[in-house]
Amino acid sequence: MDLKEIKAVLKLIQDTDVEEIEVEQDGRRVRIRRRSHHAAPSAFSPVASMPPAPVTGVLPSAPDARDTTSLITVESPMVGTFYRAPAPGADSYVREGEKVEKGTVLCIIEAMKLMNEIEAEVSGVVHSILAENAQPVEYGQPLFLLEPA
Amino acid sequence: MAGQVSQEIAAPLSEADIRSGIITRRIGLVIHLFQAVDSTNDEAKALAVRGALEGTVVIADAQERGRGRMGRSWTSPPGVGVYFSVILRPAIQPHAAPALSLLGAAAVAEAIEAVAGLAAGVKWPNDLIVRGRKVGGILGEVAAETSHLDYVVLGIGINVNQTEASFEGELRHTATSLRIEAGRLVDRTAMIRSLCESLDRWYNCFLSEGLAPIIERLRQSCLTLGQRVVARSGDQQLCGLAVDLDHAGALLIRDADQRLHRLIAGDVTLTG
Repeated sequence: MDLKEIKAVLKLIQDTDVEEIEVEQDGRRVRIRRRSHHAAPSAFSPVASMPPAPVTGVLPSAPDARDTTSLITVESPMVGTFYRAPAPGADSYVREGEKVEKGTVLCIIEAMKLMNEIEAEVSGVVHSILAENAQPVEYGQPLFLLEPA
Repeated sequence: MAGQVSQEIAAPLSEADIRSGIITRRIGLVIHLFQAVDSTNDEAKALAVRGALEGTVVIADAQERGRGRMGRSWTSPPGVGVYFSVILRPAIQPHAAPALSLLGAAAVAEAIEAVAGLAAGVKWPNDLIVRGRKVGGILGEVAAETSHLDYVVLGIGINVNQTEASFEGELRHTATSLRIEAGRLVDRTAMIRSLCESLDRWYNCFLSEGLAPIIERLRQSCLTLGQRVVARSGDQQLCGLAVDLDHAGALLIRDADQRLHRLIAGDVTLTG
């Protein structure tokens, strides 16, 4: 399963209460866990909010350690702007493939000039970065996939 | 007179002076005063991580590396400004925390009015403006997991006794101090006391009644409302009329097609 497909799955469950899904394709499985939360309204957008996307094509299956990549999603705790670096032109906090410890700062989310440093909740490797620098992010939007050590 | 001026400016802040006469429930019950620190926010965050009490305040006479947003510097020379950070630990969801920037702005505006006798306006969400120029700002930092807020540090910088000569280049046109605007020296200790008290009042109000009274207060002093603005968030840009603040403190902007947008992050420029 490639990154594009993983992103598609994440998008599918973003506005739902699904906390964990496992998807199997061509003999490879990916399991994605997220924290549960309630939907909150979006920010830089028309005031009327979009209805949540329907959940389709998600096939939960019995846990099986073999051939399963367990990834943890790091979601945005608030609506805001996603920053990968502490200042324009500065080095990014983390890159894909980089090892992180529990507590390593992954990014900043800014809203109303309040900066929220998002830290890794587990040690592991940054599998993928799902948001673009300096772009608006929604509450609960997946920002990173971490592969726990 | 010149002698008195330099003496007053050089007088260091004293913890005993600041404490005397402060009546607050939470804010400023513990005060850490430094001659100079890299940034009061960094000191406050370090204290918060070690379990410092809610309301703990960090004050410095000077900051070596005072920060604005996104690595922008905040000039913090000794003896003339208020460099102040407070630790808050409200039992709210992290996504509600940004509104505390507005609480800070309302409190600073009130303290400026009380001590310097100047009408201070708020440029949404965190700039304090006197007669069209910036006199103070707020940089909030929050430590939170997805559904649990650990602490918020509100960093507040106020230009108090700078002279015109203190501001160089572009700042000459955009920045000012309470002294320049009031035409007299302003007592930094009184400013800090008043700030603790107004923060305390608004924070207690926030805990018991939520954001509504703060939004109501800001509607009166928010200079952005009723103005044409350009809002930028990432590569998105929106032009329109800033019409109101919503219940969460977001800025409501009506575009040319009469559609209403709510802005919660990004930069807002007034275009007049």
